[in-house]
Amino acid sequence: MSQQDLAAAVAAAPPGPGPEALRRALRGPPGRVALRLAAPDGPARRRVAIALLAEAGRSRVGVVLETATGELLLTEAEAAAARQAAEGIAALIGLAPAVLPLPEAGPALMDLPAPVPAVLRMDAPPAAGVEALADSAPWPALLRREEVLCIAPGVPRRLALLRLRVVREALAAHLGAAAADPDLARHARERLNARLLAALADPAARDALLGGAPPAPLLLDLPLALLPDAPAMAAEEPAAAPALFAAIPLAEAMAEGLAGRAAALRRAGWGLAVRGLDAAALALLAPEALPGEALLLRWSPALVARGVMAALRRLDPARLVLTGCDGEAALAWGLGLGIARFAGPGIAALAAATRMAACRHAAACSRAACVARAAAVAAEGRVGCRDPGLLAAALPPEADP
Amino acid sequence: MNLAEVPVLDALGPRVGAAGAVALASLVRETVAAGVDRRVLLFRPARLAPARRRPPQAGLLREAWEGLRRSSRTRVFELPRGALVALEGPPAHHLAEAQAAITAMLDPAEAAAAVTLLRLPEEAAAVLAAVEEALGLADAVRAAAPAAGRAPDGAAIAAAERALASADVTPFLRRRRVCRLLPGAGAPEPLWEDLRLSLADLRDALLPGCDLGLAPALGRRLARAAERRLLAGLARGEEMRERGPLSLALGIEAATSPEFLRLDALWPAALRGALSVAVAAEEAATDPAGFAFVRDFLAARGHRLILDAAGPTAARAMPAARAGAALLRLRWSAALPPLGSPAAAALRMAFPAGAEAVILAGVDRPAAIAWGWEMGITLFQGRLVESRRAAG
Repeated sequence: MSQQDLAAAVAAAPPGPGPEALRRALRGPPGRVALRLAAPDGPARRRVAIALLAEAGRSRVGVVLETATGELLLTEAEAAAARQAAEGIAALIGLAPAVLPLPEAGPALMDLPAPVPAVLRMDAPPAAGVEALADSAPWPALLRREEVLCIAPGVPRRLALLRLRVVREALAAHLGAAAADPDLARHARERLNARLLAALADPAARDALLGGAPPAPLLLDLPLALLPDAPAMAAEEPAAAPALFAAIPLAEAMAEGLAGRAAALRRAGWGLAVRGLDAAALALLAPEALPGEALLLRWSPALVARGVMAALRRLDPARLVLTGCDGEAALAWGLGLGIARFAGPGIAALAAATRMAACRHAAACSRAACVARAAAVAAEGRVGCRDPGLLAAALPPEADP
Repeated sequence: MNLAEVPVLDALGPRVGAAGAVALASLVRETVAAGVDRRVLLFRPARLAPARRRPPQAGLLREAWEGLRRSSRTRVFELPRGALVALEGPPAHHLAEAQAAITAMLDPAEAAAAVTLLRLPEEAAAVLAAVEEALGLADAVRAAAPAAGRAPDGAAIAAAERALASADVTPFLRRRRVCRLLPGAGAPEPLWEDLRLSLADLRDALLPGCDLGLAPALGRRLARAAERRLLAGLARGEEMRERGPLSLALGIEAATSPEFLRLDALWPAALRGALSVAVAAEEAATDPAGFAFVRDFLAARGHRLILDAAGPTAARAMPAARAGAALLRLRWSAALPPLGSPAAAALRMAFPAGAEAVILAGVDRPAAIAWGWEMGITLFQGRLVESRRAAG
């Protein structure tokens, strides 16, 4: 684009504070630069990027613009200040802003889609009515039944736990704008989980959810506030194996006195699990100090990082349950570490394959159908299965030794 | 019981028996559906006196039951919680024999409670009820803590947020001086001012009678709105002129809120390094990735990060140095381990390195200061420190 064409483009740009700031930047003396940054990931990074860009442009009255695609542009800044800011932004948010000399880079700037001055904002979708949205959502679409398998070399696979959990994405679809607020989304999930627990007290409702009697202890996401305070009993009373494992959030697992409540919980038929461990959490934590018989660790390739592995060094791997296992890499990583309990789509497929190998009607079914029916929490979702007993059991019974 | 003694669910240990319960339940349903005649012997050792469940009596009872396994006419199921069930077609001689052998060893009342012979299909409901009992799920669910108190809902939080929008939050502020206090060195030396919003005071004013603990996510959202109001009040030119060193207790979102970014922009160059943001360990655990970003952002802007630990468990589960905080603030409470105990040594291992890296907050009695000194702590805040400062 020639200088004349650029001047024409500048003149033809629509009115408004965005194009106006660009026009001003293009008219100034040489030696200045603009900074252009791809859309930052998430609202916190976006706000910080805008603040840092604005600071860099302050001496030249540069304006931070935001395009329709979320890209950010500082219209003008002194070159030295801009380069320093660009380095800081790259280190902090992991995206390096492009440093564009002015006025030479003018044509590229005039191409930006619908730039408007960027506003520092923090969205808070309305809290009112979130309960009604959560309550009106249909359970079968929101909940998933998930096998947690014991897998170890030389030992037959068996079902360790049966998890019932709210599928976040499915619930989000019912919450509308409120889903964008992590606190409102969590509030809705916790509400559903508490209702799920209440429903399980009724054998008929429980059979509908699970397809039959639970073949293994249940694992439910629950808040600390629901944990029973069982009365003290004679020490000689042996506690039975828990019928129900409550997976409490990581934040609540740091409360005092939880480890001491384990015995009382057992007498009430409860086991304690902790959820919310992932690569980011392990980078902050000493997980061996957490209470609970099962620590749910969400699989991601980021777990392989050395700093994360260091956090697991002092932890008994038998306490871990690797969730979200989606394939060989997850299983291999977990087995290598000595983890013996696994869940996730890959494990659901493994359970289905094991069922089908023992099922007389398998020839008429597909693996995907068997996975979907096992994940269902209502009779409609299991329609088509001709061995509902095996489906409810999750794995075929072991041959008697 | 300490953590090491908590029975770990043995991943490779014996089966819990739920599979037996599932198999039995489906067999009962099939039998009923087919109208087949069966006898069921139910033996629940859990209903016996404790002495009967220990050797040698337990062994003898077990032996009387094990005879059933030797016959091909009977099917035996082991249920969770120790219950045993056997099925046999009529006339069910083996079941009758085992029942007689077991009953002979028990008091009549005990035997009536623990040993039952049932008929299928007529008494299927009783058999299924026994399966339910063995699974223990219904009992476990009933044991859940009842929701005492009133939980706020979204509408109540929205109303509280509207009230906050025009309210002055200073009445809900707790102001404390963080002081250096050395053994034998006289009056506390104030180093900076600490500001924290009291969520309990906010609740009493805006949501009287509600228990925010019953809806922690909504409590967090309210705290965020209040923190933004607090920051908006601080981030003003006239406020800045009288500002000295400051620490602010904030949530993760508030630490990158527009209001905090404004405060950061206005913060005097002479006081760089004298603004600290305190984030609770629980807050960091709620959003670890968000916390890591806040930590890096504060470091890039020259501000300090304090990790707030409500108790020793939090301090140990999230060691400040590992979380990337140079400062740890611990709350004085009865939960802190006694001096000289292994727990105290373990807690000290979780302290960040360096002088003046730990603050003991909530100091309301001399014992707290004595405890702190023994643990190597020289920074204190709390009611007692305030009054000593006034007196000294």
